[in-house]
Amino acid sequence: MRVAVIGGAGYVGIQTCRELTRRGHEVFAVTRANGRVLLDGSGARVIAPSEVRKLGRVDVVLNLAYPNRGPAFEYPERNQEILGMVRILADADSKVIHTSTQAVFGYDLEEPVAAQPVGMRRDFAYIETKIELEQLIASAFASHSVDVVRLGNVWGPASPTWTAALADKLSFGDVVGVRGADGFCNATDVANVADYLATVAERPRESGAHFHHLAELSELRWSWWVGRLSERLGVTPQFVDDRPSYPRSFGEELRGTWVKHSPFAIAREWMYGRMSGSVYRSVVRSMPRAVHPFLRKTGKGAASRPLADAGDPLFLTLVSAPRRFVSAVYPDWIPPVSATSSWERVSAWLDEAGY
Amino acid sequence: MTVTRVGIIGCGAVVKNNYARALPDVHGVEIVAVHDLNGAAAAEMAAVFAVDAVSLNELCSRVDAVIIATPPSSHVALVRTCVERGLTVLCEKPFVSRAVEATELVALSAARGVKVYVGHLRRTFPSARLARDIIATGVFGAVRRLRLCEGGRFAWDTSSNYVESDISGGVLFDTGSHTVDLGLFVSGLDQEDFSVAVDSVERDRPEPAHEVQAAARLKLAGREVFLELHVSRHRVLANRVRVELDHGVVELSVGPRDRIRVTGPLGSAILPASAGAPDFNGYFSEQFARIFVEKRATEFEASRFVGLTRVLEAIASTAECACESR
Repeated sequence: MRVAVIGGAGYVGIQTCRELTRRGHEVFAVTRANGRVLLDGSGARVIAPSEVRKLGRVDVVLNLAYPNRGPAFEYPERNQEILGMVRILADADSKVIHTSTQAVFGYDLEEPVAAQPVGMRRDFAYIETKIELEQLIASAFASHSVDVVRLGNVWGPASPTWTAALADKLSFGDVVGVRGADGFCNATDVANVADYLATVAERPRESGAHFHHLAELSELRWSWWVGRLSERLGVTPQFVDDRPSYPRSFGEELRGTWVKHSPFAIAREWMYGRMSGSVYRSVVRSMPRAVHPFLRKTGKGAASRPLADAGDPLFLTLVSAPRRFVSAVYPDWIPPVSATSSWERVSAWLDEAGY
Repeated sequence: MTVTRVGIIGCGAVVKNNYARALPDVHGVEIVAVHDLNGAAAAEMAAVFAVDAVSLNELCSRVDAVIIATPPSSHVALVRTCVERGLTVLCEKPFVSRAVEATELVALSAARGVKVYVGHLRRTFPSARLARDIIATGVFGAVRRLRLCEGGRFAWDTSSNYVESDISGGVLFDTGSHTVDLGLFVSGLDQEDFSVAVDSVERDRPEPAHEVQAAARLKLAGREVFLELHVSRHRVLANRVRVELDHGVVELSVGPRDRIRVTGPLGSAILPASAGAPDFNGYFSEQFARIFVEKRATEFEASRFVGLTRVLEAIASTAECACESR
């Protein structure tokens, strides 16, 4: 098959391109300029977004991209650009696969979790972005064949968000959990993600939109990983006593804002808040485009901002998750990597990486 | 307050992503012109700074100081030109690719009575300063070994494509110059004179390479310091500097993390550094302020980077090997 992978140079993208190539498919990775460095040796042919029209027909379009640069209030435009690329690549006979995230149900999985469409709601920019992109792609290709694969926390060797981040936190004495609240890890190993996406690509087309949830390691608690990492690194993990939570309503957010001391701190809280930030972004989008350049500084980091900015409280919310993101995958799919072999792979990477 | 008129030479990714955000926060610095061989890039940054895009010659005639942010292989000629025009120079890292060039530029700047600085930003990180101060006390004895690891998925959108086309655009000079510099800075070796013997080098391809592993010895008067380096654009590595001393170990992140780990004979402890900048561009602002406004930036003076250049040059010029001496 000819497979186009949009966002092929990301952590999941590189593994997926390799897996598709290993299975004998012709893979075209659509990436920014850095893709040539990252995909060197993967077997995938690297294509710039500006070149997708030259690609011709492909059997499968796999989208892994989402807006993770630029101001948050511009994410609808970036989503439209991604949708535009998928439209160019996919014809009536192509299969479209879109990868999304468990976060469409909230960082704390507070929305009802079901393998079906999610309605738009106000939330952190990352979550709004992901919900909107799911909706755009699912509705645009529902009459063809579209599979939306929502991923749990992508774990594995060199996972920048989880494995490396946890190892670094442990090494330098950062807090890595909440005492008495050992959350479900809701994890999926990156090799299993690549295998499952390749499997979905190879299955026969079925018209309509199909939703999959992938977190085959979700039954494990975070302590399973943290304990092994701590022992391997020779450090003592640090915990806090209270489970933080992010506001669930506008009122709760407003009450939290009043404890800030300076107008600047309050304004900042509002811009990056869950509900108030969403309202702020809506207001900015309703303003003339000419003012956007002046506001860009206020909304940078469209997608990564909530995780990075909220820092430890949000991280601690995730590692103390009381709810499980249960897999909903093809019943006959067997993940090639078990929890034990996932740890062995991570452990080998720790050695290679200089930990 | 005296205002330093600064011109920017090179309008690529670092100027767009960092300088454009950091420089407006520095009081006492006025950007007066920009220059780039790529007219579109120059025009874009000229609009951002609300200044003119001009020729190199005209830029030099309008300013007190320049920031050189061009691909690495152009640094020697540009630094020389600007020094000869009597301008203070801040050259982005990597400084130059050969120690003899670094020495020549240091001598030229001394002869002309002008300052040349190198933008090794990480020297502003509080964790780096704390680690340096602790090691400098001598409590843990002398430095014996540096283990330096830095790697991540390459995310830099370069307009010049120097990472593929510039012989000094490989990960060794690009990222590795930061990593090695941090190790030399915290261990005080940037102020020592040493020669370098390379014991082994592995790379993913000829320079400019995207992944390099090397082992070397820094030969100082009466002792040697072992240096192990692993840098990658392909994969995430431990991203830390580990300094092994006679009686302990000091470890710090290559990023602006606010803590370091210190390990002695009986155990280890986490030490908090002083508060850092509110965001990454704040470190750029601090660096610019130290150099152009406060003029108390001895740690950025070009003479402090001759040893670093010697290390990088020795590794870069060694063919892939596991040499006999290892």
